[in-house]
Amino acid sequence: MIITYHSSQSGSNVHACDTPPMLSLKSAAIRRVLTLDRVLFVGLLLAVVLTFPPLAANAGWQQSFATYVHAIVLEAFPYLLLGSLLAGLIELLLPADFLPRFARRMGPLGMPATIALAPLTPVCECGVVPIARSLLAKGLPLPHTVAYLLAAPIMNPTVVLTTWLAFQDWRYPVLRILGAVVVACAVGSVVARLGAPRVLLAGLMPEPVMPTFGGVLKGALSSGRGVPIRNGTHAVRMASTRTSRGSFRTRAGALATQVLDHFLDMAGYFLVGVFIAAAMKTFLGTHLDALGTGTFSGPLTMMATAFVLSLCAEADAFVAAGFTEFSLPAKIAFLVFGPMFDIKLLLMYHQVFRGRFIVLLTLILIVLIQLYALAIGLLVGVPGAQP
Amino acid sequence: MNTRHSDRLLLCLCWIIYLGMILTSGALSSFIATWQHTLILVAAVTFVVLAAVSWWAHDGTTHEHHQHSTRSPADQVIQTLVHCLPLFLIAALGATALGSQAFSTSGFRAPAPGLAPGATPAHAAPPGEFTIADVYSGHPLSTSEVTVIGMAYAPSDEDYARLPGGLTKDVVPLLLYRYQIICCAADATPLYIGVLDVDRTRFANDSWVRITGTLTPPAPPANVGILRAISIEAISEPAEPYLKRSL
Repeated sequence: MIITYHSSQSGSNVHACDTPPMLSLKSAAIRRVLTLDRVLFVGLLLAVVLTFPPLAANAGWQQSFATYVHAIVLEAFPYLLLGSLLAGLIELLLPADFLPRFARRMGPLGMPATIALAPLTPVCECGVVPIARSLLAKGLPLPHTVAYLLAAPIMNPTVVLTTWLAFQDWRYPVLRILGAVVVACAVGSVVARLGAPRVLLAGLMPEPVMPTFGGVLKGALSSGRGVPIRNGTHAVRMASTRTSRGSFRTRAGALATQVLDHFLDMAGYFLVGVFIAAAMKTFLGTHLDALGTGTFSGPLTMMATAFVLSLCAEADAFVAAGFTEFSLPAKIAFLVFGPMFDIKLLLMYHQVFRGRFIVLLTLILIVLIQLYALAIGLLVGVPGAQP
Repeated sequence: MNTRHSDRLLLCLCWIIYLGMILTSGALSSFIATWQHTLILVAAVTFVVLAAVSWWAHDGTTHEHHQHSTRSPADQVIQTLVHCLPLFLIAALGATALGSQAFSTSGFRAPAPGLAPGATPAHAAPPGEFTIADVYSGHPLSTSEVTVIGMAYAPSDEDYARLPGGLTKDVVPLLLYRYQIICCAADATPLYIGVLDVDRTRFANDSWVRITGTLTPPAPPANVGILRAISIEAISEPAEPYLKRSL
């Protein structure tokens, strides 16, 4: 958790607006105390404690809610840990100049090449966030990292296999992968235009940032410094780098600490997302199909469903196969959107990206995937529902 | 021991206690498919080892002198409490499983025939035992008289309005349902059949029952299997509450 209050910025704004000094001080104090992190975490704590009084009789919804929470947490736990482990290994073992050199050599093909290599990190959407953070820290350009972040869960070989098994139809895994690559590269290009300061949180900003033809390149990499993790673990990496030629004990300790910090950093926000997703599933179920199943409304409905259900990419194809009233394009929208953006990911992205960029990312994903689904509908010619 | 290190160990402890409670209570099957159990066990052991190594290495070195925490003590307490929430739920409610609340919220979608075309549904029941998944496997039934295990649910008037066409209180006084999962309870799909010739008030909702009867396969307009009960008895909850669908 980090406090993202920028006193100097707000101070200048206040004077520009001629706000009375006392009021501005009060406002600044409130904003310093009421950070988004604190509101989210304390709100969640209050909600859980108030709705689950000890020794009270359990209502049916409480049983459902708790079951969903435990199920999502336990299912994601191995993948979140694996992602953290891979992130720790990347930070400790990958040479500092490897990824920048890779990006320079690949040139405009850097983003597709990064996505093509994603199966080397076979994790689901929860585990991919710490890996992306480490890749960024090791000098992978931000557009490439964002493209990897969005596409990697879909490129996971297990996810490809389960998609085929669920539908027994080659069009689904192919269109899913194609959609992931197209959408991820498009979002990566947008990120390249925006630049890191508008995308990344201040605590993750590489210094200095130098724009290049392919996006941004971290000047910090020349010093091997990379990007700090948010909650003060930058010092750990510095220590681990410094002790990388030390004893087994110090090296093992540095790796273990690094992995645990990645895991614990992500797990807090992940848990908030899980509790919100469980509440949505408990009270909304899958009633979202009332929003519409038509050619235009179907993909939008399925994207909303994917957001609410927050399923693991390994299992979502089987759930999608059960939505028999939806067409192939709508199901593809579900399969592409879900691993890129859902409730738990929204909270995890909050650990990496600025709030405004997350809003922009949501809109871009909805528009691009909707267009992709409509294009599939035109090409495949499936206007209505099909089993 | 500095604050950051102790904070990390405390959070690890929350997770280790939580995982320990789940793994030792035998409740894992209520949340996760059997094929994932080994994966979770391995991950839990790895997590414990990482925490131990981190503690061991820190104890013998001074390499974290540069560490600092950007969190205030209040934020650290809040973060720790958030990490304790799953632990709080398992301690407050114990092992839970999906029941009729989730079934009702699911909207009584008629199970699709041949849920996974070309694949035979796998389930936790002993070989040869018939399950509700078999009703919707798309395979022809070898006999019409079957014995099925599931949870009883007497739909309300509101529920009947949402049930697929033709399933009224007079026609189907009781539903027998069971969840089928792929990875975990979050992807659970309720499978159900209608039960005829049964007193809907005899069993409370979510009671586990074994019903022997004559099965009519799913057919339009409702596309729901119908079981005419010959005998019905209450049973205890099976060790595997959900039917597992193989990948």
